[in-house]
Amino acid sequence: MPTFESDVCVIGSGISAAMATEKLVEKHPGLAITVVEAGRALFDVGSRIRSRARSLVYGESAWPGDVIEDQQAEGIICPTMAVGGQALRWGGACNRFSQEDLRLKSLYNLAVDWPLEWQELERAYCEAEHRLYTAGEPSPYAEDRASEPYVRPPVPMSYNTRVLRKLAEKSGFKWVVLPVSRNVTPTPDGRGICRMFDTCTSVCPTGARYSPDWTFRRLLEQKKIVLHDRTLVRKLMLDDTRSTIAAAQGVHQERPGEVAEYRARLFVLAAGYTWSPHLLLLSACSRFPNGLANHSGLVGRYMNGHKFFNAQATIDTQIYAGLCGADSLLSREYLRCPADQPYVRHDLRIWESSVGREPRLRDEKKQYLLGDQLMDDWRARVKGGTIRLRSYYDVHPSIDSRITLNPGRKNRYGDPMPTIEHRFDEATLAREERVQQHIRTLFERIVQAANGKIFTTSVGSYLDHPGGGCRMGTDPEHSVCDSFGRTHDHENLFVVGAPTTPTPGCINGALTFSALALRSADRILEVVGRQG
Amino acid sequence: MKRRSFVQLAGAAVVLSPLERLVFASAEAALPEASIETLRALAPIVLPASLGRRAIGVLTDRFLERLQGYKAGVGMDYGYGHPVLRRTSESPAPRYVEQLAALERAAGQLGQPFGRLPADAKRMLIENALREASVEDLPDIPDGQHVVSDLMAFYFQSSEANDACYRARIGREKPRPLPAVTVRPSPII
Repeated sequence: MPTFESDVCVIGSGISAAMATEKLVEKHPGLAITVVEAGRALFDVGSRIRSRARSLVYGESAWPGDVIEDQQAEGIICPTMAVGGQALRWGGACNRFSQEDLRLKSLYNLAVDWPLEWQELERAYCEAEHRLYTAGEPSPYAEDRASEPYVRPPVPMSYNTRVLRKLAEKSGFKWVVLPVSRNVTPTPDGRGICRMFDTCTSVCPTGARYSPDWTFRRLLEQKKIVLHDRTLVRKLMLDDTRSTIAAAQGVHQERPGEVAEYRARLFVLAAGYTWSPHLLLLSACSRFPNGLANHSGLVGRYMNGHKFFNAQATIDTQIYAGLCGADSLLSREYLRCPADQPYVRHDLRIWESSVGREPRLRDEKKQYLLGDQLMDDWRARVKGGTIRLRSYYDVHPSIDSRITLNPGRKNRYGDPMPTIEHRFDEATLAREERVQQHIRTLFERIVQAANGKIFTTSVGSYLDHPGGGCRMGTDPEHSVCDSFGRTHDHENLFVVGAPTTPTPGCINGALTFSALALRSADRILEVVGRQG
Repeated sequence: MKRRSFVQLAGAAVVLSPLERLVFASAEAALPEASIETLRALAPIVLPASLGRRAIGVLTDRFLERLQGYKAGVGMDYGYGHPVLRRTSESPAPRYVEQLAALERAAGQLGQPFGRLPADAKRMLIENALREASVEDLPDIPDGQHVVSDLMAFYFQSSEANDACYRARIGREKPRPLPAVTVRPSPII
């Protein structure tokens, strides 16, 4: 059996893994770190323009080879499995949660409090924003005050966004350009600048929009880490006599019959909200028959994510669909809720949109439109503009919001694949209708201020920015890990990022996952420092 | 130069811009010559005549290039939220050949090759073909349902068509210097 020894073995290579690994490398030079990733390293930056073009022209994947077809979860929102993880396809949004997210129980008697103070998370936010070269403008709300300014000024607004901001401000809410990890000027980490390809959520050919593959590529070039890609860790093995993790056993895609063993002093499980709890459950053994780190029975429980409400509206001001779909405006007006008011917390976002203004093949009478006739019809319908509004709202998971192993669906090695089913607690269900009505009313207010009209609304059919499955807490009976991600049951096993979140917040999650991972890295450094 | 000629050339220039042009094509012809002839005959009916003959010819060439560069069995973008893993289907070329031949057969019943029919007769046959194939919408990208709707989608869903619609240099999904998007797109006169 091939055996690989290191000080730290990182399993997974998404944004949380990248943040933690980068920090470990910087703060503890000489630490031997092996990163093991089930998917491929897609480091050929030169091919990205071509892949992007083929994606646009043929619908092919913008990241060819980023999926392992038999390693998929039912209920997952993005099947990407490659070095960089799901953040290969994120939009770069760098939003902070609000202080209330950490004190839901204390303030509102809802869900649970997080086991850390806001000031601790705030420091980690600053660090994450620095590492991601976040571009943004200060929030106009005093409660959002950051202890350090953004590293970069906001990305200049597109013409459309500037028009929309003027209109949106008439609603009385305060708006900012979404803070993003998108370079207008080069960064020292070698990423390029924004060339307005405007496919941020698919692929950024220049790397202006951060993705974790850049971090791993750089660390590899500097020989700071060892990366084993295309290697699926199938099981964590316990030490014979203690409850520490002795090894991770993995299989390379091209050598399915050969088990490789990764031995390390410390293991960092950074495989995201699906695959982290999945691996812990798969690692059940006679001493831990319910899975590792699962003394509480909560591994794979309290899976979270936020719901969202959408609207499309016409406005009579002329904007130009396609100018910059990546740009958006954010209002944090409702990230807070007075404790004596009915609970409702959510963000507000606005984008340019082309919905209802696309070219069409048939008119209202179902007559075909060909040639200039189609173009004339299209031109007549693009007068004015369409905007998209969306609100992420806070919903809280029940204990039955969970991952289960599906014995009917196995990968090539015979491992049961996970099924994710989200469930909400009673308080969430009880307020659902009222919350949606509240958001609808706000949307109408915004649109009316822009002299527009909503023509469609919908509720998202999945939970965005999912997390949970290994929630943090102080009580080992009611949580899987502490606030640093260190599991209660295994002193040398950390879970980092999204899985550790007890509740989802109501704004994009990646910055919070990154901040938590950086905070985990602090504790990991302490542990390895103590170990010498 | 007459203004219309200039617009036509400008249209063709956009289509041919070396920065935007990506050659996916293999050396093999996309379609048999007879099919290409029919395709060229229907293109001026389904694409905006205002682009001019030359630009329409170039667009048709590029549609054929796209067809040549098509790869079956390639992993497709799977979407977000409710992803679906799919692969590209077989090349639509054989279906196109059949659909174009069907247009020729229908034209034959009117006593002429398709290319020689008057525009309104061509249009009638094209509409009949779309109805028969149950084509109701323009696909986002050519999807192989019908060669006509695919050719139309190839153009009308393009960045160039979006610019033409707005009569403005928006450049959707084209690389642009960032300052270019911070101002109102310049008009295409």
